[in-house]
Amino acid sequence: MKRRKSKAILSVLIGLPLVLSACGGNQEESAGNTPSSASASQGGEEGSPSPSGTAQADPFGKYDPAVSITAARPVGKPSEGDANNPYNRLFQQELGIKVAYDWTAPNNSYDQKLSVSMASGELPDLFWVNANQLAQLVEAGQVEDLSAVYDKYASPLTKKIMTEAANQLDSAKFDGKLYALPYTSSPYDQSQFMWIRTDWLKKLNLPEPKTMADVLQLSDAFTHNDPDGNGKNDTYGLAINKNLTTAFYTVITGLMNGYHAYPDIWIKDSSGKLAYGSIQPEVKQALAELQKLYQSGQIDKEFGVQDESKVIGSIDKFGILFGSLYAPVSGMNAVKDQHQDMDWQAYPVPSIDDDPAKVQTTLGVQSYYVVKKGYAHPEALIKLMNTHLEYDFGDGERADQYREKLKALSGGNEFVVDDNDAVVGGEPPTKNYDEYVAINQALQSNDPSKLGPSMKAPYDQVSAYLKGDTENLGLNWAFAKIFGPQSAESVEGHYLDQQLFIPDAFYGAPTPTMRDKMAALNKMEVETFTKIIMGAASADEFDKFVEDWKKLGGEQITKEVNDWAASR
Amino acid sequence: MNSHKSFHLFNYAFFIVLSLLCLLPIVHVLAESFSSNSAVTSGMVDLWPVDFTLDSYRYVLSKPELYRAFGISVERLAAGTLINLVLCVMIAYPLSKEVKSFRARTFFAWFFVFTMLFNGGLIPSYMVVRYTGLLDSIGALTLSNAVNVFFVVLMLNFFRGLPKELEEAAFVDGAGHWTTLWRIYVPLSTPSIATIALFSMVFHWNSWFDGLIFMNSPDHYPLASYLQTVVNVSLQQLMEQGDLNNLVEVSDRTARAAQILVTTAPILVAYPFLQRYFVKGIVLGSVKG
Repeated sequence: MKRRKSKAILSVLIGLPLVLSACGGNQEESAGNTPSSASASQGGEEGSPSPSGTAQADPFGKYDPAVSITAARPVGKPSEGDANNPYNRLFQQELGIKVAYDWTAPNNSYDQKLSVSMASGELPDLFWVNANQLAQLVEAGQVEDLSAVYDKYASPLTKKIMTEAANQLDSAKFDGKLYALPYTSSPYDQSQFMWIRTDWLKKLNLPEPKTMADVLQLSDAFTHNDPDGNGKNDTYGLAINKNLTTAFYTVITGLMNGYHAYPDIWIKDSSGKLAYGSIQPEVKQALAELQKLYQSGQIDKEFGVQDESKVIGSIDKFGILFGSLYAPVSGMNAVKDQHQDMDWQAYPVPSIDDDPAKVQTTLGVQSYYVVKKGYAHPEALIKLMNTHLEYDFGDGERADQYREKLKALSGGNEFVVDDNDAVVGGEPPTKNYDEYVAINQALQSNDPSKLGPSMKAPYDQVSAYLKGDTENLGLNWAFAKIFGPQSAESVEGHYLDQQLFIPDAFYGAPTPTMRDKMAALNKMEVETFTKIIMGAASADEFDKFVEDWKKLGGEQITKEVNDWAASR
Repeated sequence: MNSHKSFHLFNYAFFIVLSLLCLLPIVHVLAESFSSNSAVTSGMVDLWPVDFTLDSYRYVLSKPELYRAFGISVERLAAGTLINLVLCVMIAYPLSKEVKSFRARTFFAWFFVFTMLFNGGLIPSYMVVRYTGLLDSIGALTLSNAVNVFFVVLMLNFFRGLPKELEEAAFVDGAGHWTTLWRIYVPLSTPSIATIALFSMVFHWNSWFDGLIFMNSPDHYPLASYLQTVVNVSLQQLMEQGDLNNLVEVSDRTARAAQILVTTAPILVAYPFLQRYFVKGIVLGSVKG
């Protein structure tokens, strides 16, 4: 009975397009699409292995006749959603791969749109997913296993970039099989840097801090010695915001790293097992110190209600902040325009003891590229990635040729690295650092002619700032603080040299208990930490937090994370 | 006398505070949109612009996406409101009759009310739009919201309030239901039709989520969906792409403020003109119903 009813509804639904397609020209087109994509997804369920045709594995080999691939992607600027932009035309010209977008959505609503698409079983051939969606798709068997085609087709450059930073490619593997290519970005740029208000240093005649003890002294001086010289007690040592560890700037994470504590990431404990950083005893020590800072007025009493952009907006009142390399362009540039005396510089996070401090990094991968199960040419994704990385970061004849062709395709415009218009993307983890090195060589030799077009703009900004131009001061200053001599990138260079990074040891998809409980645990963490810092609870409250954390799902999560580690 | 006075005093104070609560955020956004970006970011702008500039409006109005989205919104508004009104009137009329003259009335009334209480949810709605071939077309935005039962109830109550004698007289003169509806009822119902038109216009102008879900490219978004993508930017995604220039743009709150005002202005302007019907219409419908 029930079945007959649903059949009746179905037949009505199927009949409707016929009726409605007469309503307008536009609808006819999408109705026409239905049968073809439906049959394609049926093919996917049968899971026919891909006939990869060519025996010879040329990473840049051209399809003849050309193949087409439907895709979906998030877009920032309009050209990114254009299937006919120069990059995608280059793919067609060089690889014989014709890209067409089934749909595109703005960055912030892409996930929603994809979820609907996944739930209704309407997947394009090639699309972006996040770690969670990747795990779901792999579990449901809806995406193609790329292990074989990756080994066969990935170019040396692709392989290098994919594996350069810790765990990036491995995070796309399930049971040893590769199901996606990561959109690689730099984990290093988003690690922890200590930013110090250097014009205050000079004013108070203080030396640059070398140890955490120096920093604490400095914070005291910045608070109580009237560094802005207005005779009022209106400055603070340390800038932090209400999210404590999860924001990008004005976090406590960097300070914690100085105490060898690593909140929010998974670390290897002494027995080699994975343990959660936020519940380690070192965290308690750092929290006790923050409590002292708060009590002596070195932290703004209102931090508990201010998010990072709010704190950055009044950053001229603060002397020290921890956060990512991008801090100067986050709004500090605008504050600089209003307070031109203000100057900040990045320093490595100092240590509380003799062991050098190491800074924590995340995976540096937010998205992955997957190929729908049943698509006939899964290696097309690898070839697209090879080509994209080649023209962006390769050197040699082929890369130069590609760039020339791109220039011709875009009507003579200068080729610019990484403008994100191609259907695939990614960059080496040290992209910005490499640019810093090149820019500083050019600054020293005063010869920017060797710089690529993408470095030209930062070079101009840095040198304008160094020359003392006052036009666009804030932005030029910000770029000088990131790319100039004595900048955040030089600190990153120091980190890279000394290998001072602690990567997150867990880089799988969220485990089942994580999905259920992690949000609540994180909330509890922020609440407890905030209470301790504000003195509403003593530092011993931390021990109770650790107990609660374990009881409320943390123990189970730890077990799952260790199971995951054992399975790799 | 005295208590009367203090009541008035309290009343005025209360409503002044209430209206300030509504007004101040708009004034703040207005001030931000006319200020320089650096002043806004460093938190110096409250209710009056600092470093007065029209730059953000120049920037916002120079974007072709804005005009495209505006065009789609106008199209949606025109088609959507018309569909809403016609269907609403045609459904409300039979339902306003008594069971005597329309035997299946109870069934149909519940049929519509049911959809007020329960709906299929996101995925089934998406599937319906998908399989009716409306995806990525203006039909997805207008036809999937063609009937709003709340409007129907409002209209129905209004129809019931009209004197029955009018209808009887029309029948005597040989008019059928069709003629009675369009020649007698509709002309008499302008207040409630205007009310529903206003509701419907505001609904179509403001709804953004269906645009995100049913349209396949940002090029096809109506204004509200477009605005949502501009105002609500994800820092995470930009960080990932490591593009410093994008990050700078994110902190550009002035442009966002200008965008908010530009997109809300048209409906704000339409409001006062329709408002007098609006109040009258609701009251008439409810009291006489």
